[in-house]
Amino acid sequence: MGDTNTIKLNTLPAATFRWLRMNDASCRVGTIDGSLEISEEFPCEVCAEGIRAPEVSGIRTGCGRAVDDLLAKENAAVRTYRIEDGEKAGHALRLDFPYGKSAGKANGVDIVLGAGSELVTVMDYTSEPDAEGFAAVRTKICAGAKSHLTLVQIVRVGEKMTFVNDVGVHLDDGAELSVIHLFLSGGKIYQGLQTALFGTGSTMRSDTGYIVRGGDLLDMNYNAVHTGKKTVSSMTVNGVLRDKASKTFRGTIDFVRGSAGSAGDETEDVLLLSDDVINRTIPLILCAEEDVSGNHGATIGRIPEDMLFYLSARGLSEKDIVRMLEKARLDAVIRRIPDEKTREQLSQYSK
Amino acid sequence: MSDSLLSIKDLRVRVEEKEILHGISFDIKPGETHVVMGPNGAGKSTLGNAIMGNPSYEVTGGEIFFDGRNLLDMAVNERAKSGIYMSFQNPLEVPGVTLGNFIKTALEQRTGEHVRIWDFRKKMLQAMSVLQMDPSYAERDLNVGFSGGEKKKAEILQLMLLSPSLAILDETDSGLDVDAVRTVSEGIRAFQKNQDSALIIITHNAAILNSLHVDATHILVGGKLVRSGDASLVDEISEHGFTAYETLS
Amino acid sequence: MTEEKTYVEDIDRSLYDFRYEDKDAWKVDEGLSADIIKTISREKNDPEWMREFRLRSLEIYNRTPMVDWGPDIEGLDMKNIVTYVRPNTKMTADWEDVPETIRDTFEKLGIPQAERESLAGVGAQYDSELVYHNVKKEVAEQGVVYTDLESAMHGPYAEMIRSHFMKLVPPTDHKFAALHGAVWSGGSFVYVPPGVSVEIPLQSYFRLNAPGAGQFEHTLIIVDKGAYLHFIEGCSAPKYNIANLHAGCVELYVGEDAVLRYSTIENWSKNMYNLNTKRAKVEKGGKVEWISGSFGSHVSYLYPMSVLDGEGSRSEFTSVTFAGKGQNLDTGCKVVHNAPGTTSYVNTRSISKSGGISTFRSSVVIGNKAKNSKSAVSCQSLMLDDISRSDTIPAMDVRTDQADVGHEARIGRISDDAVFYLMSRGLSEEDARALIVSGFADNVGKELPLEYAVEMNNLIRLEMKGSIG
Repeated sequence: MGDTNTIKLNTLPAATFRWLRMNDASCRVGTIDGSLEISEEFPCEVCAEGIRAPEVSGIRTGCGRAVDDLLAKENAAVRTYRIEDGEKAGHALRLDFPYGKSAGKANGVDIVLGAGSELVTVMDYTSEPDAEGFAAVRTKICAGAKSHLTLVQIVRVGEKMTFVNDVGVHLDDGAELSVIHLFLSGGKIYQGLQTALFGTGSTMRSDTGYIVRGGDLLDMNYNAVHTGKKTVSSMTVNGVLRDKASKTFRGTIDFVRGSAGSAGDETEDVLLLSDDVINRTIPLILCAEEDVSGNHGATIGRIPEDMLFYLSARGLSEKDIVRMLEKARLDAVIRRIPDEKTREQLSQYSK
Repeated sequence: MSDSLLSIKDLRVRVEEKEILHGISFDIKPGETHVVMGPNGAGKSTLGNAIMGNPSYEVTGGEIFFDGRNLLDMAVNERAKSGIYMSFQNPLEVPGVTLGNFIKTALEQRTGEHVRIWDFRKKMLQAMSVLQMDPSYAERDLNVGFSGGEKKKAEILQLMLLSPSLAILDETDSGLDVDAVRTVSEGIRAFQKNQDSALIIITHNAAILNSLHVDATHILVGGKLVRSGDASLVDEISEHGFTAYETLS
Repeated sequence: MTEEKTYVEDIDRSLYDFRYEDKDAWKVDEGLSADIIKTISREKNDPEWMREFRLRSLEIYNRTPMVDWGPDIEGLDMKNIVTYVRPNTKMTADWEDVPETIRDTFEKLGIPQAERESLAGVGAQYDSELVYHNVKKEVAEQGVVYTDLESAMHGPYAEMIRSHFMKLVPPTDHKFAALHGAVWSGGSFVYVPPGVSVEIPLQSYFRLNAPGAGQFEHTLIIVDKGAYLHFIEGCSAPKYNIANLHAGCVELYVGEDAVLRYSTIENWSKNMYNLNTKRAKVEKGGKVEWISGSFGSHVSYLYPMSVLDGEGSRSEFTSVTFAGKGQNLDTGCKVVHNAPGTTSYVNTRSISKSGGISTFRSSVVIGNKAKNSKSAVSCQSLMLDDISRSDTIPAMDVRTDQADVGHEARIGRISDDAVFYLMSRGLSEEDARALIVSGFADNVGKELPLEYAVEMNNLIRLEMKGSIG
C-alpha cells in the first residue's frame, strides 16, 4: 500500500478468505523505458500494423485492468496482426521478444481473426540469463466466427526478471482457441488468461506446463467465461516445483446464465520435488445455469506410491522416475505445438 | 535346490494389519511355467506383489531367493533389473511418456546399454503384430485412455520386449473377451519359447491356459497352498472348482 | 398461544414456523454499547474475568471491519438486533417445570420424545438462555459433565472453562467472533473424562423465538484422552419479517486418541443471518467428525474448521447444503494440517433451487511440519433450475513435498435419464426428482442417526415440493 510501483493483478473472480492471500497478487513494477522491438516473422496471409485494433477494445484480460492502465500510462506500443475472413496462414506467426540484458519494456499485441480464418501464433519471450528488470506484454485477441487460433507462449527469461504476460480473448460463434503455455524460467512470472466464450459453440482449450526452481515465483489466473450456448472449455495445468519455488494457480470456470449446454473442465497436477516449495491452488467453478457440466480435479504432492511401484517394477530408480515424469509433463505440452520449428527449439528442454 | 530360479520358503505376508499369506513354499526352475489358482481373496495377487516388492505388502516371515540372491534385500527396481517382471492387474497411466519410449527406457535400465532405435522399433512392431495391436499405440502415452484389454496387451508387449528371466502374470486374463484372451496367450507363448525363462501365471480361470504348456499347478486357498500338482490339476479345477479345497484351508 | 400462518408463496414449514408472543420475556435494548454489555454481564452474574472479556471483545468488534467477501449482509443492521432475550423461566432438569408455551415448542419439535428414546442427555435453549438441561444418570455416573456454561463457570470446572473459552476462536478472529465474545449467552459445556465412551448421543437444541433478536450460544466440548462422544446440535426459528441473527460459537477440544462426532441439522427460518463459527483442535491420534446439514437461514457463513495439531490426528467433514428461494448459503470447511501423518477427508454436496445461491468454500492448508499428511476433498453441486446459482471456491496451500492432496469438484443437473428411469417404474416426476435429490444428499443422511436422517429427508421433500406445480 502506498507504493505507487506496486500493482494488484490476477484478481480471483470471487474473493475468498483473506488470510489465504490468494484473492490477488501484488507485483512490483520496475522502470519502463519504452517498448521492445518485436522480432516478427509472419506468413503472407497476415498483415501487421502499428495501431490498436478497435475490435479488441472491450476485451478483458486475466491480469486485469491494472495492466491496461500500465500500458496506457507508459504509452506502450501496440502492434496489430490481422488475418482476413477465410484465410488460412501457411505457417506460424512468430513474435520473438528478446529482452537481452535488461528489460524495462511494455508491449501490446492485438490479434484479429476474420471469420473462418486459421492461424498459429508463437510468442517466445527470452532474455540473457542475468537480465534484470520488469517487462509486460498484453495480448488481446478477437476471434471471428469459426476461426481457429493456436496461441503458443513460451516464457524463458532470466531469474532476476519480473515478467507479466497477460492475455484476453473474445470468441465468436464456433471459434476455436487452443492456448499452449510453457513456463521454463523467470524470476517472477505473472500470467493472466481470460477467455470470453461469447459465441454459440465456441471452444477453448489450454495446456500449461511449467518448471519453477530456485526462489522463483509463478502466479497464474485463468478464467473461462461461458456466455454463449454450447461452449466448451478445458484447462490442463501440469508442473513441477523444485527448491524454494512458489506457485499459485487460480483457475475459474464461469457459467453465466444462458450458457446452456456448456461444459468446462479443469485439471491440475503438481509434482512437488522439494520440501521448501509453496503450492497454492484455487480452482473455482461459478455457475448460474442449470444445463451445464463442470468438473475439476487436482492432484498435488509427490509421485503416488502405486505409480512409483509400477515404474520401479520396470527397473527404473527413483531418480530416473522423477526425471522421466518431470520431462513428461513438459513433453505432453510441447507435443501439442503445431509449429515444428518451435518444437525443435524446445527439444533441449525435453531431452 | 541350487538349480532353482526362484525359491520361496514359508513366506508370510501382511497387508495393513492383516496377514494374507500364512507360509507359502515352492520352487521354480528355469524354463518352467507354474500356475497359481485359487478363489477370489485367496492371496494370489499378494504372492505376485510380494515377489515384486510392492511396499504395501509387508513380508513378515520366510524368504525368497532368486537366482541365488536374497530378493527381500533388494529394491523394486533392482528386482526388475535382475530379471523379474510382473504384469499389473491395473497398469498405471503415465501421461507424457509414450509406450514405445517407456519400453525403450526400461530396456536400457535393465541392460545398462544404449538401445539402437531402429532394431528396437523392428522388434516392437513384430511383437505388436503378434498381439494384434495397432502400431500407433507405440506413440500413445503409456496406458492413458487405453481400454482394459489394451492395457493388458501393453503389459504383455512389455513382457515380450523386456524378456525377463521370470515373469509373473497377475490375472492378465481378467476382463478380456475370448478373442483377446487368445491373442494375449499368443504373446505368452512367444515368451515361453525362450528356454530359460520361467513363468508364474496367476489366474482363477483356466481359459488362458488352454494353449499354454504348464509344468506345475498350485492351489492357493485362504493364504495357504492346499495342493500342488502337474498340469492335470488345472482340468480338475475347471471341472469341479475350488469347493473341495475350501474346507481344507 | 397464537399459531401464525406462513406466507402462501413459501413452502409449508408450519412444523417449524409456529411462534409464541414473547410478552413475558425480559430483553436488553436493541443495538450494541458498553452499557448493554455491562447489563448482560450483570444479569448473567459473570465472574470478573468474563465481564472484562466481554468489554474487550466489544472493543475488538468496533474496530474490526466487516468481511469483504461472501454473501451480502447489508440487511443485517446491528442497531436493530436485540442481543439478549431472557425467557421468563429458570433452567430446570424436568420438562414439567418448563413454562407451557416453551415446553409446547419443544414438544412440537420432538425433543422430549427424542430424549426418552435415543439420547443420553439434552439441553434446550429458548432465545438467550437454556430452559432445560438433563443428562441420563448412567452417563453422569461415568463422570461425564453436560451442563450450561454459566453455572459451570462458577463450579468445579471454572478453571477448565477459563483456560479454554474462546482460545480456539479468539474474538480477533473476525467481526462476528468479536460480537460473540461480547454478547454470548447460553449454550453448553461438555466434558468427557479419559477413556469414557458415551454410547448414545447428547443433544442441544436451539430455538430462537423472539423477533429481531440474536442468539449467541457458546458450545464448549472437551473430550479427554481416548474418550468418545457424539454430540448433536439442532436449531430452528419461526419466520419474521425482520432480520434475526445467529452468531454462535462452537469450540471442540479433542484429546489424544479421542473421537468426537459433531452433527448439526440447521433449519433456521429464512430471515436468519447465520454467522456461526465452529472449530476443533485435535491432539495426537484423535479424530473429529463433522456431519452438517444446512437447510435454513437467509444468509449463512459457516465453515467448521479442524486444526490437526497432534501427530496422526484426523478430520472428516461431511455436509449437505440446500439453498432455496431467497437463501444465500455460503458453507464449507477449513482444515489446517500442523503435524505429521495427519489426514483430512471432505465430502460435500450442495443443491440450489428456486433462485437460491449455494457456495462451497473451503481451505486446506498443509504446513511444512505435516509430513506424510493426506487430504482428499470432493464436492458436488446440483443445479435444479436456471434461476439459481452454485459456486465452488476451494483453496489449497501445500508447503511440503511429503504430502498427498487430491481435490475433485463436479457441478451438474439431474440427469433426464435418471428421472425417466424412475418414472418408468411408476413415480411421478416430482417424486422422482425428490428421490434423486435425497440420494444426492445421502452422504450426510447415512451418517446421521435414523430419526435425524428421516427429518433431513423430510426437509428435502418440503424444499422439493415447494417449486413444482
